[in-house]
Amino acid sequence: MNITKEDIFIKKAVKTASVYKPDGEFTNSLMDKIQSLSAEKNKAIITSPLISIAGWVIITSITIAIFSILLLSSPSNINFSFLTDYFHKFESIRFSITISKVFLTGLTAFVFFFIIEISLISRKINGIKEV
Amino acid sequence: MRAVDESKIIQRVLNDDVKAFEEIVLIYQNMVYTLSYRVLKNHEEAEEIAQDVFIKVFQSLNKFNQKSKLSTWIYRITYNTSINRYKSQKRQQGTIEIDYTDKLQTEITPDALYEMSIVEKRKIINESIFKLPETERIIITLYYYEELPIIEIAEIVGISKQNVKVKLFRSRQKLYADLKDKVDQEILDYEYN
Repeated sequence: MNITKEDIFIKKAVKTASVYKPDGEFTNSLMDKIQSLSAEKNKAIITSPLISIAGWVIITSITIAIFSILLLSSPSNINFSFLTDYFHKFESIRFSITISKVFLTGLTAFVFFFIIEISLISRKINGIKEV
Repeated sequence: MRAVDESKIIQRVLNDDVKAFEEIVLIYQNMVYTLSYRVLKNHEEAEEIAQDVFIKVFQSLNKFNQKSKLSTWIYRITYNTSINRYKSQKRQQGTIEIDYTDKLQTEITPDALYEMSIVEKRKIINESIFKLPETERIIITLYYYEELPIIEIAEIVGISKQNVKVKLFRSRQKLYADLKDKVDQEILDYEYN
């Protein structure tokens, strides 16, 4: 860029205009904030496990027990034929569902873990709120 | 600041030496504050923005890749933060009052009359700078005060080099036309030399 007389004049003017200075306390107050941010960042995060060792032992035992009972027992047969008494028009229909072991095991496990999860999560959330 | 010193300070800050960050603050606080004030025209707002800028710099220093200079990165954050604040204020208020309270960096000189005259000149020059659009105020400051190359200014304000040149040319013409009869060349020479 060619240096013109305008260029020289404006450079002198802007240099004369100088820079603005923040308040005298600016650096100290900023550094206080930075210190607290740094302390916060470095603060050790103390976490407790969601499920304790004893909890894991109980859950494992219950799980093994449920699976053993379900897998060793015979297939469950739930008969809905009593419903035909109410539906005379559909006499030919026989309501009978055979539930396989796999399905029953899966369903029981799902319900069991769902209940455990909800109770543990709600306990954890309540714990966080109290803190 | 040299690039080597700069990377050493950055490394110290990343190693949890908060005191090292104060060195960065002391080096850049006046320019960060000035750039912010040149956009917002209000000292309290400018100070708030300057604080926000340094907090952002501290929090994201680990993401700074050191491909550009630290100053370029800090000034870019300053420019973006200030412009965003200015735009949101403009939406809310319509116009912004200029706070002309003098917080200029002034060296003590034995000549009180000269000092008075310089303060007056500074006021006139700053008023002229404030007549320029926000981005041009920043470009003028970075080019003539910080003496940054066009390429760095383009990176800071996020426009092309060619666009920076055009804006620089325009603002120089406007400033010159506004100031040539108001400011005494001798005073500029005295102060500048």
